[in-house]
Amino acid sequence: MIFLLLSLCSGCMKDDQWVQDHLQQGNIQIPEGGLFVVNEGNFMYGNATLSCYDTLKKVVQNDLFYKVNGLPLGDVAESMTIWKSGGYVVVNNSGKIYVLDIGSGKYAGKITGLTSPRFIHFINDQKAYVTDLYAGKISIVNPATNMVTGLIPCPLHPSTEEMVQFGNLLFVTCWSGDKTVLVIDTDKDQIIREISTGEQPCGLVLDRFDKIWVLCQSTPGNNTGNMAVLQRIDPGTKTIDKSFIFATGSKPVKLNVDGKGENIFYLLGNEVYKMHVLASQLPVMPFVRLQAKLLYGLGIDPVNGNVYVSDALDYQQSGVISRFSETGVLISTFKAGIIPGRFCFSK
Amino acid sequence: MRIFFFLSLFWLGLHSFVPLQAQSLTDTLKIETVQIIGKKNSLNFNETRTEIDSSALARSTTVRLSELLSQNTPVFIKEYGRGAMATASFRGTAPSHTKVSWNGLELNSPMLGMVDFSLIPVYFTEEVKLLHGSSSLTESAGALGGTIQLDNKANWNNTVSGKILTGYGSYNTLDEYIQFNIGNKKIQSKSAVFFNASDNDFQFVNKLNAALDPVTGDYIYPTVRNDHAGYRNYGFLQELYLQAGINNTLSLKTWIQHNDRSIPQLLTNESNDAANINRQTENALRSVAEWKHFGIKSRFSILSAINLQNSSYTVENMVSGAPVQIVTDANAKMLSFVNKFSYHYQFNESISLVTGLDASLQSVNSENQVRAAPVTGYHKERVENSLHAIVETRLNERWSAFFLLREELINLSHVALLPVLRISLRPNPQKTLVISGSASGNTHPPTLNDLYYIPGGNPSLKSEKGTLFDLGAVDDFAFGLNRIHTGISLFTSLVRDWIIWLPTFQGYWEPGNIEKVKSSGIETNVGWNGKLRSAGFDIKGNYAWTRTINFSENSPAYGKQLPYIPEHSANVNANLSWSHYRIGWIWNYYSKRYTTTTKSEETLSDYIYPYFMNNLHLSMVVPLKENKLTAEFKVLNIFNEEYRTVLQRPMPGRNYQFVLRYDF
Repeated sequence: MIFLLLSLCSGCMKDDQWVQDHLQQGNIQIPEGGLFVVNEGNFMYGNATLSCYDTLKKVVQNDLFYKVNGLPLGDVAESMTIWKSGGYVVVNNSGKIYVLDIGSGKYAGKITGLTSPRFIHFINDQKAYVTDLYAGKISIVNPATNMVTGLIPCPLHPSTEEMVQFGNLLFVTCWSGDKTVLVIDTDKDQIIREISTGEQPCGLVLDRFDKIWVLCQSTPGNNTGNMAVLQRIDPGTKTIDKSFIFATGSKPVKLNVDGKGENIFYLLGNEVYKMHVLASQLPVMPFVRLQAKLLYGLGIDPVNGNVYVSDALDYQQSGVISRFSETGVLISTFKAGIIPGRFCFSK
Repeated sequence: MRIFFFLSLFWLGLHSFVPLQAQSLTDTLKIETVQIIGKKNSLNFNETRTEIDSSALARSTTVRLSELLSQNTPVFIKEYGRGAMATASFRGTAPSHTKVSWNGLELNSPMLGMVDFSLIPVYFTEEVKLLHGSSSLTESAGALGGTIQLDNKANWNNTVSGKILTGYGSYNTLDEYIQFNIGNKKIQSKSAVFFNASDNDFQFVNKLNAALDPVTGDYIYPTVRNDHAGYRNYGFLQELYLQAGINNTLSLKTWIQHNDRSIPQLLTNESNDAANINRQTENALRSVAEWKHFGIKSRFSILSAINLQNSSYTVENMVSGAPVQIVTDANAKMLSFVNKFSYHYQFNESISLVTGLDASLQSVNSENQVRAAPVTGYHKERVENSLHAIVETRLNERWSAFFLLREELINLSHVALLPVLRISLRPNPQKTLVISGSASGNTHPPTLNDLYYIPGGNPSLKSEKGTLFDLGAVDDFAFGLNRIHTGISLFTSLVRDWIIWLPTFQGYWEPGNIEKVKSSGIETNVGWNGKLRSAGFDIKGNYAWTRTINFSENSPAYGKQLPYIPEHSANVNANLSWSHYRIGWIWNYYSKRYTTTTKSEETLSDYIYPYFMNNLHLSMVVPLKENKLTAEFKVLNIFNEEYRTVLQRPMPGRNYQFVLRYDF
């Protein structure tokens, strides 16, 4: 009798069934020009997610990838890049890049076997570069086959991060514990120059005057003393021609540029700063100031200049996205996933 | 409230069922020599406690403390995988709020504050007792949830005895244990050694990764092994007991242990095989020396103990054509040097006094290196003192009172004055029902990592402060050859200045006295043992309902249950024995656990479905003159369930273990 009762409690943890029960019913139509929000999730939780926001209807679909495909995105989704009809989501601590159809959200392939990938940059239909936090190399992949086809070794710079292309030159920041921007000849897949920068260069953007801006975060830690710096690189001479030093203790992050390449944006504390690329000094007044817990992500709509800012709150719940007009007026807010870190515009 | 109402009715109903036979019971139960009566949650006159009875301990020799607790107590164990880290949540509190003491020596890391229950073998423990809530203050401050006591003791009747155990299980799991005891009425020695290792490479179909069939587009799920998950632990325990005259006992217990394991990747991982290879090792030396003196009306004890732990954690990436990339290299040396004095005086049958003084030195030397960055770390020491006095009085044959006052000091500065008042009532002195209620204050200081970790350590942190109330009742009764034990306890606690690590604008995490958390709930248990003709049976069950709610103003998680704390948890242990055979069933349940602070169910990663686990034990005892040989066969996860207890961590399906044990 007792064992009978106990056996009634058996077979209740049907992992498969649980996933099936939560799948999206019917197909999802992702709006053209929609905004993807890459939610990192918590490190070692494997709860990264992808949200899709309809910028016209102001409707969000959270956990898109899992609900459409029955597969979790993985652990720490770092970035997303669109190439042709594919959305390439780099899942850092899962060592892979998921490819999804940006019209339906359906799983279309994956690039695996990476160490700790961060960003993917497409050179052409047959070649893309993948940076890596720990590998000491930049992987070369073929988007047509989703296979790793080669590598560019950089053992002295194990952490490679964001990329910007100028002609056949690719500029790559070396972030964690480093202070270098690599210059790669994309025809030869070789490093041709190393540019010394401030501590921990992370963000990298190209302005309308063909200048490259790099944001150096400085070293994290209690009272390390070094200062963050925004630097400008002349891709022609491959040298730094301008440096803007931040106040001691400032930790600017998430460098962005608008669609026209005229203004650069970054986060500093609870504020978003906007700086014209011809400005002679760092902005004193913020573009917008938020009553936020922890600003974490920043994205600029390349078409209409809308500014999207994410608040990660306590890191353990859905983050909040605030959308501002080009002039800094709040348009709307919505909830995304845990730790919304990057924005990817499908326009 | 409905749950509370239901449980109260259930408990009262059970007592209305108490037959008249119970009236014949006195305070002392006569126990047949062949039976072991478990004292579950015995709310006695002084404390709310749970004791895991000796028969359950004997059956669980090869398990880890985490499994023993989850199968026999209301404590929630969060397990990160087979052989991986396991932490405890006692009455809905944080892992650092559960203290673990081994023969009076606290095992909690002064660096992290918590205990990894997966590293404590049951081999070396002879008594396991849980002190719930305010009851833990009789031993020490800081256990806002409670204290788990692991004790060893001398058997003065022993001459020569021991046991040899060997076990083999799935995934090449080895369990070896040898204990040898020798002595007389004056001196006793116990020596024990264990070795436990497993490849832990169970096979499973990974449904969280899939390749696409190039023709049909269907998913192809890989069948994989739980690689890089092996563990290897060994240890040695030496106990010496000396009867120095009729009034004095001296003891020295020394425990040395080494643990070595890897932590497997998440189920979603598809990095290359040489990525994120990690290794975690710990070495521990624990030693406790104690002198106990027994007078006619008084007794005292002096204890001096040391807990030395070295831990190392490395993560590496092997990259072809490049040097090995050291991602993380973290090392820590932790020292606890503990001294305790306790004096007990019994004025008469109705009143007694206990006073005590504890002095301990906590030291941590932590060094961390992330990649090629400079080594960061800290070396800090802290002196902790505690003075306490307890007055225990039996006011009359029905009422008794217990009052404790404890003064806590850190580096000789006042931290808190902590009171406990417990009133107990025995409504009918001829019966065993005891109703008891208590109110207390408790405090938990920040760990040395909270204060000094680089980056983020916050030296201005305050201690967490708890106010605890509980009310409970316990009863034992019998009919025929059956004995039933029941207990129920209601508790509520409010913890202010709850320490939590939060991300900052600086790019690292920092602890703060952020949270105000209210934990409340019910713990109840029932045990029933008896005989059916020639068969004996015993059934024990625990159920706990726990609400741990964040009441921090301005918190985005205000009013929500804390992550990974189940509202409901339960277990049932049922055993049937006849002749030399025994069959046992263990059932364990946790309700849904949320992974976020907002109790959201929007995404598939926001919660984990309820946990149900069933294990079966079969054993046979072969008497060999005065010795015995026991063969035991265990089937774990008997229904071969595919499940996860923590997000994206693989768990094994049905697996087996065979154990041979020889007692002499």
